[in-house]
Amino acid sequence: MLRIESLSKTYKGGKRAVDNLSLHIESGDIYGFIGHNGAGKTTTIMACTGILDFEQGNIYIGGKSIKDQPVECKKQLAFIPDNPDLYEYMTGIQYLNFICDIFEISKKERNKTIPKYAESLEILDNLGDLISSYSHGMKQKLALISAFVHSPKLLILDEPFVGLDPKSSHTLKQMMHQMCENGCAIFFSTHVLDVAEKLCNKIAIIKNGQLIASGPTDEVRGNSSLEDVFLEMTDDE
Amino acid sequence: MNKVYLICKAYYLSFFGINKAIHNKDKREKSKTLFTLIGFVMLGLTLLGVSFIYSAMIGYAYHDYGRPDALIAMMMAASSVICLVTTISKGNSILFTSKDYNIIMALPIKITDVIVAKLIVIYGMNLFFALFVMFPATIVFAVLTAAPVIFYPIALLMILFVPIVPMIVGTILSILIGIVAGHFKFKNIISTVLILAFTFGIMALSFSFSFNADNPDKNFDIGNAIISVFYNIYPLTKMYTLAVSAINILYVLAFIAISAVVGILFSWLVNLKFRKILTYLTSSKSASNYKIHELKNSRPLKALYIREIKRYIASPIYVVNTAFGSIMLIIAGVVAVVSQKTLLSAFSQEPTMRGLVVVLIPMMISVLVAMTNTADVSISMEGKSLGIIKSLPVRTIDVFLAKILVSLTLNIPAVLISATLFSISFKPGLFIIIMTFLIPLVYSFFTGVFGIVANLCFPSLEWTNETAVVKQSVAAMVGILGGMVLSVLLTVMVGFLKEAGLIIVLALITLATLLLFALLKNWGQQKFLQIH
Repeated sequence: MLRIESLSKTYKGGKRAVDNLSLHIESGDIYGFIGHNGAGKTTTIMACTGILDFEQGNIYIGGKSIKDQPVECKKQLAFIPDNPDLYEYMTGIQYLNFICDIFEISKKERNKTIPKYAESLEILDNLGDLISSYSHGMKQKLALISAFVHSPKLLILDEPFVGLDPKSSHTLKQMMHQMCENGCAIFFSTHVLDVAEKLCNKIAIIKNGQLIASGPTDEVRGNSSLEDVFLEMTDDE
Repeated sequence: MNKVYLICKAYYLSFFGINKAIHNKDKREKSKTLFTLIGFVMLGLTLLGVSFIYSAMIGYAYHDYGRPDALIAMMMAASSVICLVTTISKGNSILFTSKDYNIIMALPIKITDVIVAKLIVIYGMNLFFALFVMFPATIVFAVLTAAPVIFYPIALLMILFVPIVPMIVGTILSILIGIVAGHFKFKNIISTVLILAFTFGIMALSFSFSFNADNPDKNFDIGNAIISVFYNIYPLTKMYTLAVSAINILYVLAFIAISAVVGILFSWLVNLKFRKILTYLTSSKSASNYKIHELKNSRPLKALYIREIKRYIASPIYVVNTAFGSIMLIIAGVVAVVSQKTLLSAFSQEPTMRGLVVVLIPMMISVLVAMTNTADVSISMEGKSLGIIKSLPVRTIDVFLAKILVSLTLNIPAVLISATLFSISFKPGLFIIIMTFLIPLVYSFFTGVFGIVANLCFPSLEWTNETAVVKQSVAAMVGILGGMVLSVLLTVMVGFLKEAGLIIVLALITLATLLLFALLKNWGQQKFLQIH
């Protein structure tokens, strides 16, 4: 579903954030992406979502290149950034309706799915309020609903569990599993190694822009815990 | 005081991306900022030169009436009104609702220091306007009256105090507007309406003080009549004018004392009620009782356009700064119709002048159209949310179109109304009537497209205060000034070439719009992707 081929990204000033990174995420995968701060996780994710341009390599979503057919690629994916800076001048329901308009979701479909997801994330009562009045967690929930309403084939999340209360965190994990069962591919970055270990069937570890390990979670961690493996691999000493 | 300096420094470093340029490792970006700064310094000097010429023209006229001090009074009243009006729209946002408040308030800094620092920031902006107006006027007055050496230090010292009282009054009004608007769910829209009402109310009040130069009374003294108009606009004008023009030390001290007392009193009061005001201004009305109802759907471009409109009306500073030209355009059209008789009688005595004025109408409308450019900061206004729109399945050109459409939404009705009113008032021939509609309409498209190009060249996404984008960003300056300077140059050309000039202008602007649009479709889409 998502194929990253020899991706390299150098920022102005010469910093090479991602260096020749290749990764393949198939439908049904929950792929965890871990690495230190500044390792290149967000840059990779931003390139996959079409937010950030890159100079080398290519990224394919459902077989289409994000460089050549960005709109077609984006129709298949949903992205949730680490800090949900949503449109604060809109109410929650206006924002969700805007996303539905962009993804051309039918009136019938949106009237069915929005209340369903809003209720399960316990934010239905607040949908009429301005987003500027929302807490970080509420914004995160709204961003999740906006991702789920158009039933994406690929879900990309940057640190999705930050700011969520335990119950919502649990709901999100359930939703992720459910989406995978329906054939969606999920690629997400996290610092919470316990979550990655329990939730993901595959793991990729990035260090200084280069992929140092990737594959099924069991293979990557071997007989140790993911935390031990991660610290061992990323330790410079 | 050290902390006051640090807060001010943090704010001023964001000006025109100065700090970003200093620490940017990319040499191209550095030189781009350097050239932009040089450009602005040159533009600033040019505007200062224009201000000098204007002061000299007015000064000589008042000198002939025997009241050169009317120049000081006029410019003092004008800069006070400018300071008052500009502070109403931004005082509250700088003093209380900056996005950096969470950081600053958590630091071990006294609230007084925060207030003083923020007031210094507001003062700095107002002083900039005051200097542009007052400095040339002061020098012209000194030359006209062969002022003694002591005049210069006193006059320059006094200029520093000019913005204080209007700035404080403007900030108080700004806070009151914020508190009133805070009672409503869509408080930003209420704020915008109140700010516009106050702004135009103050301007109307200022213009309402006028005198009749054709007064039949033989003892009528035109010089005194002029100066009394300015004294009436703003009460402290008289004190200031007497202090400076007559070098009256008593008035100098009184003016400085009043300004200082007002400033200190205000800081003390704000310090006393700071948390209460902050809570009032920053708390949001949330009902938390939403009941789901049937949702309506729109096409993607329409959805993008509606989102842009919502973004626009949600920012009072954005609306006030950009809708000004459109409102002025309609007001000018109404004034032209109301004063139709006077205009026609004046023109009957000067037929050559009538011909010139009539041919310039399309261009004058275009100058005001250039002032209403919402597109030039529309990308920057996305701020940290830019990633959302970039990740959505929409063509980048549709994103640009939605932004240009907001500019057109303001400009097209204003152009149609004012062009109709000007056509009724001036009764030009069919050719001029067509041009009066056509040129400003094409110019509306041009400024919109040009605005997007300007913002792509000079994006600014890491702002903490909307004022920094709308009023102080390079894109805003380039977008509005570029459009205005071009329209003024084209106006001069039409002044020489008359009707033929209008056809050339129409052709040039149409061509430029098409070229810029083609640029947006290619380079623009790439550039948009690089902004983050």
